[in-house]
Amino acid sequence: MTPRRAVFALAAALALPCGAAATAAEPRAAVTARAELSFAPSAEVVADIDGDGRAEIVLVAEDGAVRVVRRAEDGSLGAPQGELVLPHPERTLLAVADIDGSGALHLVTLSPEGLRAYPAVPGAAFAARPLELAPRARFVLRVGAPRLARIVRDVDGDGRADVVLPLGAACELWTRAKGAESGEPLRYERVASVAVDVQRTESTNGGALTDVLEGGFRIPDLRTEDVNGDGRADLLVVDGKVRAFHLQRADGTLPAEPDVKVDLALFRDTTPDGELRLGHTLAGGDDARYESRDLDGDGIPDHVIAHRRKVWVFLGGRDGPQFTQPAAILKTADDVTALLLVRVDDDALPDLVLVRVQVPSAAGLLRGLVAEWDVDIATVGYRNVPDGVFATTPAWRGTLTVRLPAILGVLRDPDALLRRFEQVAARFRDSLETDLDGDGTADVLLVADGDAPHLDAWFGRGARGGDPDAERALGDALFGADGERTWTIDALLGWLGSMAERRASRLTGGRDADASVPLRGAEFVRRALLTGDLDGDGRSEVVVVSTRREDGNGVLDVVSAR
Amino acid sequence: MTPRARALVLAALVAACAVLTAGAQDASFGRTTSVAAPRGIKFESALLEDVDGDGARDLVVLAARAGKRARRVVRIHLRRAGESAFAPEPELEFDLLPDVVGVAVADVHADPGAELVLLAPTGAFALRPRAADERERYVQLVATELLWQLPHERKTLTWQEGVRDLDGDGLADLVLPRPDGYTAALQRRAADGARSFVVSTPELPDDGADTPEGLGSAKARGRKRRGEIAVSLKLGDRAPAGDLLDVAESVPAPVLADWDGDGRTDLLAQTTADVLVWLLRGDGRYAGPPDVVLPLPLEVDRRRLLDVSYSAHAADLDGDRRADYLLLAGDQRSDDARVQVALYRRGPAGREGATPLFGDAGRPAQLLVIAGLAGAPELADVDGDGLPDLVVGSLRLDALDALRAATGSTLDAELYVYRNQKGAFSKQPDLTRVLHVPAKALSKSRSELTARFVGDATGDGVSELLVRDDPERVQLFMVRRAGASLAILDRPLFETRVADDADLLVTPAARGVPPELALVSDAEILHVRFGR
Repeated sequence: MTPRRAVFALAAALALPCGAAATAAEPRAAVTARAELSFAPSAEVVADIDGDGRAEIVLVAEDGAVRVVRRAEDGSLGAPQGELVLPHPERTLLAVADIDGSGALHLVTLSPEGLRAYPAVPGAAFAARPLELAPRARFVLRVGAPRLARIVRDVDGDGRADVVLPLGAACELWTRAKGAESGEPLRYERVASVAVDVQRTESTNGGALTDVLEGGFRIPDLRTEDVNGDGRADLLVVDGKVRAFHLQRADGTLPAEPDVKVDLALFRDTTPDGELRLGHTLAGGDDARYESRDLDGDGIPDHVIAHRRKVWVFLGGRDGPQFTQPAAILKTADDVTALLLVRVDDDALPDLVLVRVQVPSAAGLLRGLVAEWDVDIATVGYRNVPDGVFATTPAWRGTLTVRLPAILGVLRDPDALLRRFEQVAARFRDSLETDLDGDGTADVLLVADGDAPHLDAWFGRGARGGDPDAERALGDALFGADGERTWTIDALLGWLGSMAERRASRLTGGRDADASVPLRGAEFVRRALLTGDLDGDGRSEVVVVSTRREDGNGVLDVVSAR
Repeated sequence: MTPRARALVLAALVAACAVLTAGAQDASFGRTTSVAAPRGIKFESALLEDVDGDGARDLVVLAARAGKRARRVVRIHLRRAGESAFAPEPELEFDLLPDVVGVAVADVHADPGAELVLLAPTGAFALRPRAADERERYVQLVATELLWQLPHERKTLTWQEGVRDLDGDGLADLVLPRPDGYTAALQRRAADGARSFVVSTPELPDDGADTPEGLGSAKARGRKRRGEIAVSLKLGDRAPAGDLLDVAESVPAPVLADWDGDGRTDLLAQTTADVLVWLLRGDGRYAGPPDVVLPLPLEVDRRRLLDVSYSAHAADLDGDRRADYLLLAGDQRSDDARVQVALYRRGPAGREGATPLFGDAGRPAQLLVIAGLAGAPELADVDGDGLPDLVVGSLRLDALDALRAATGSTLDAELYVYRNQKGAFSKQPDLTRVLHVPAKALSKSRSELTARFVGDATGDGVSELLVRDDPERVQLFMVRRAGASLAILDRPLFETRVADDADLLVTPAARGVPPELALVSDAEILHVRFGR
């Protein structure tokens, strides 16, 4: 063994999981630094907080301690720095953001103390004394430990950071108060309270030792989109069956009351109740369904509402959405289970696809207890004609049958079915893009899980964007003449697997990885993959944050290109 | 053990909802009272509890006013003598404050009768609706973090299972779930009648069993709740798009039973690794860490957690006043669907050794095997001998059965009763009842199919069987002792048509008071009291 190989072998033996080579030559990427933490991180960010051109690793512990790790000149990771301890760790949302527009980053928190910003201290961490931006912006929900959230964002597109305060059934929007530019202390003020559609998971069933009490909720993010083509982001609100649109004004403000509001409950088809009946079409509940997309190519979203057998099409315009003048009303022969706005043909405009799911008959369902059973799905496609509405007669028809396994068999061992889906899901590898080699072009990294987890890198493969043909693939699956018309679970899994391969191929160009770096194994839980230029050399690093299963303490691995 | 709804195993398959209504018509054994929702009010749920302290159960209706910004309202109908149990209009009605998450009924104040206990994210409060001074209307009972922290605009949770007299002093105590354990509040009464609470906080240990899943792992997740199995699949990258905040907290349901036979009610909980016991001490407190930690005798992995038959129960099965343990689990090594029922009895008091209950080998005192897809067990004293009997539902189907079912459009499930023979269950069922579930029931996700023994309604000491195997019908069948055996009469004592989406609230017989029902639908509550 040559001295060089001996050094490599020794390094590999000592430093596992530090970088193993993709080839026998020197690897193009490897783990170049690592650190063991004495606490369990609950939030982590990589950002240049002090503006020195080198990104720091910001770690927030479960107990609220905020620590900053820097890469030293010799490439190692320094000891965590900082004295700041957040006062209500179990009720704190945080972000690292330029809250005052100065270009400097702050640690921004929402907690029972209100909205605060902790300035970064050059060469150290964050100041212990915060800026009180809005004491009344109190966040009181329990999240367990400090949590990163998208609370700071430019909601109204005016170039300044806004703050979204989740309260439960509503979110408040806070923006920078006037006067901050004229030297007054930075303050935030509430400009709107927006109802949001909270999903709850609650269980109060007790009595058995195996019963579990649950209390959970999911608060959706505020959604913004330009709905009137003026280039400004408008606010879209979903509140039960109501859709509301707050149109941003020229001065960047958003009105507290929506400009356009539509109650989907008003759209009723008077054909008989769309209840679920065995042997009939699944009506998909009796609520109207709503989809939005630009149908006429004018860059402004249009709107489609369906209820039972009726479909209304409304075109949006410069005044925003409107729901009074339908461009078309379609009537179908049977209840609509779901509607899709996807590209089926070769033009750029989305077409209308109505899906009808046939509920098995009583006899079919009972037979399905012990044998395979079929669910028939009929699809009808209406072509988008040039004026932005749909042809009144279908251009495509398709039927497919989903063949499902025996119900009792699934009930006996649902985990077996779950494992099969899990295997397919694992093929959809987590991805990230960053300029690892500093050549000015984004590189693609894909995570592979399993017995030997690793991170693969493809240099120069970034910025591939979305899959332009994904919709067509769906259209082919629904209407394709030569497609498989009966889909078993195996066929479905195979199709999903092919989608995973297609996605990976699109991201990587179908070639072998340029580098492969082993990641920590089953004794660790990987929390986050973050990117940033830690040493200011123009090349980005990947910071892998994991926790040790044994004690929950964090570990850091830095992956760099060579 | 607190009464449980007995969803049939097949209810797990139900996949959609529908609304139908049906008029009510009752037979003679049960007396029905209908309470209609006034215009603009939608009924959500109900409790049958004694509010005014007269010993009879009153009807507490939790409802919501219609409208976009709904307000929740509580309507209390007091029990009255006569043919109708309740007046159409409530005697008490008040709005709930927006931060109220749940309610229970308990006598927790010196005022006459019981109070409505309001559960809020910061603790429990007593509502005194008749307090003259507005400021005295709400009295804080205990400050605690509640597991359920987000109030609902329309719905109100009920947590009556957390109201018990834990120390046997005749006063209602409270057990509330927290995100990391429980808060127990034992009531004390001063000489002047004033009430106070001794508070303790049993804490769940960090057993490592619930290690959070990491990035990229567990992209497919399964979960089992009563009546449903759900599988979610994540395809693609890490963060779920579109969520600002996602919070999920859970704790094992607390089970209240006497573990050590001292007459005080101890607190039991089960994780995926251990059975935990907190002993109630003489000062009315539980310790923070559990007093007893017993490793489970089987591995509880994801496959087990998704097992529809898997359930565990604590109850005194042999009359020694100490809780025993019953475990049901699907036999994963068998080719045929079958369920093992393992009974773990306590050893001699004071001589249980270092590994009580499960022993060193984890060998049960009794092992039963039930063919089919069995589950939804209930421990109920069916024969009236004072010991809980085992009631289990089972679905046994082969291809021929399925064909027969398809032809008749009904699905036959079986209900077995294994009598408790002084601490061991009969090896074979003492009572079997075939339930004919119409196939149409499979399309009704909101209807609750049930078959449960509700206690003695006829006065012969034997429990009657309540059956809702058709979403639109509720029947009560008499169970009769015939020599040493039991028999269920074919003809129901009571039968009524109900709305197929009505929720069924059952209050079993207790202390000589016959069982009662409330069928809660959006616009009506149908109350049924049994006995002639």
